[in-house]
Amino acid sequence: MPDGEKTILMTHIAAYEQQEELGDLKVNSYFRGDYISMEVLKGAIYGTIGFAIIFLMYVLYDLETFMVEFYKMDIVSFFQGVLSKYIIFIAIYVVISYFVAAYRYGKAKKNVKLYQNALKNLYSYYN
Amino acid sequence: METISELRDSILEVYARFERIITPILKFILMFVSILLINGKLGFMDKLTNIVIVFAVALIAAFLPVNVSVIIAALFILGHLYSLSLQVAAIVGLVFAVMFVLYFRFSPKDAVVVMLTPLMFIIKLPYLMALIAGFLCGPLSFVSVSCGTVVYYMVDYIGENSEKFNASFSADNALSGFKVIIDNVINNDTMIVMVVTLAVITVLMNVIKRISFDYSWYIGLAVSSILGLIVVIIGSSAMDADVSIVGAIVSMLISALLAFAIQLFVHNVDYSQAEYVEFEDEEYYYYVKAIPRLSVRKQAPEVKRRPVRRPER
Repeated sequence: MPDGEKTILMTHIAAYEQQEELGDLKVNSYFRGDYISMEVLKGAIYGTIGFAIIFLMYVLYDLETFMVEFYKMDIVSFFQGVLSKYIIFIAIYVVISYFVAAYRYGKAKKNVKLYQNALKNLYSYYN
Repeated sequence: METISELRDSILEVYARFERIITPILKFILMFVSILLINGKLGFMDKLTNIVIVFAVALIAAFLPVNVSVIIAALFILGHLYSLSLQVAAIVGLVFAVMFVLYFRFSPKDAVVVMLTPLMFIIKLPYLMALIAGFLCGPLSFVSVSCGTVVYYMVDYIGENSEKFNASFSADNALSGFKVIIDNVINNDTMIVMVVTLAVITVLMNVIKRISFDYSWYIGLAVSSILGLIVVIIGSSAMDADVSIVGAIVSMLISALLAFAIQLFVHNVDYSQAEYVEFEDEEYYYYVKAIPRLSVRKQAPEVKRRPVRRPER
């Protein structure tokens, strides 16, 4: 006859694995430094794409004037201005990515610890 | 109050038991209503306004994750705008791309807020979305509400002024369409006031609800509603925005009452769904359906042994 308490424990463990297959367990498979570095790098890439889209919209906003001015302006100082704005934008975005990644890692580690305790309790049924 | 609690527990118990049927129905209704409202506001492409296509798309979306519904709604908007003008579709597509690339990688679960916020604007209850996002979602949910507000005002402006953007633009003035749309997105005083107001409401609600004191949810609801009203009144006067003060007060009152009713169903309740799991040990194969008990007072779990009938040989 199935053991009621053991069945409940196994159900909770199985339900957690089913829900969190691509979540906490995956996050916890990384070292903290590796996970945060990976998320910061992804943040830098996505931030660059986002900045490029915003810059494109800025250029398209008044393309006619931009094309006329482009041949008169000091191109070096223009691109220096764009680069400085890009650096500030990416710096802020990467810092946000860092804090979000650190928070997520901490939360995942806590959930996985509960899961591992449940596994230990289940193991004790066999020993 | 006990009758309300009993009624709520009954409703939640029914939801937990039949969640596999109820959730797709709710997703179907959400997608169907959203597409109908998009078609009503825009409606430039005849194929997308066909009720059979709308029904089929909503039916498919009912069985897919909610975030897919958001993408489908965005594609419907872009489809209508493409029919109107390629430049308009491109600009709106770029705005969607910026939102997706910069924000939704952090909070993919909040994407549905972006879809619901414009719907709330259409039914004149935008503050309800801000209040709900404040007490149900995370601290960054104000960004989702703001994105939804921008989407609404952008689509509303294009829908109201479609004659300016028709596809018969000549090559000379085609690019001026970009400037008109971006000007409306950036320099729209009404939109700016609403973005700030809804962000204030969402943030206040979220912050106060997280503080551990009695009735924090209800106090948060009252404080964020009152302060939100003050912000919208001051903002609309200072920036000459097109916001009706009487309308804002009525809308805020109705939103606060509805949010209060929703809180009764959400606050202090474990809203788990039924779980279907399979596993085995050395003796048995297990096929388990676990239905959560839903109650305000969380009780210590008690294992009840039910007699197992062995099949007769």
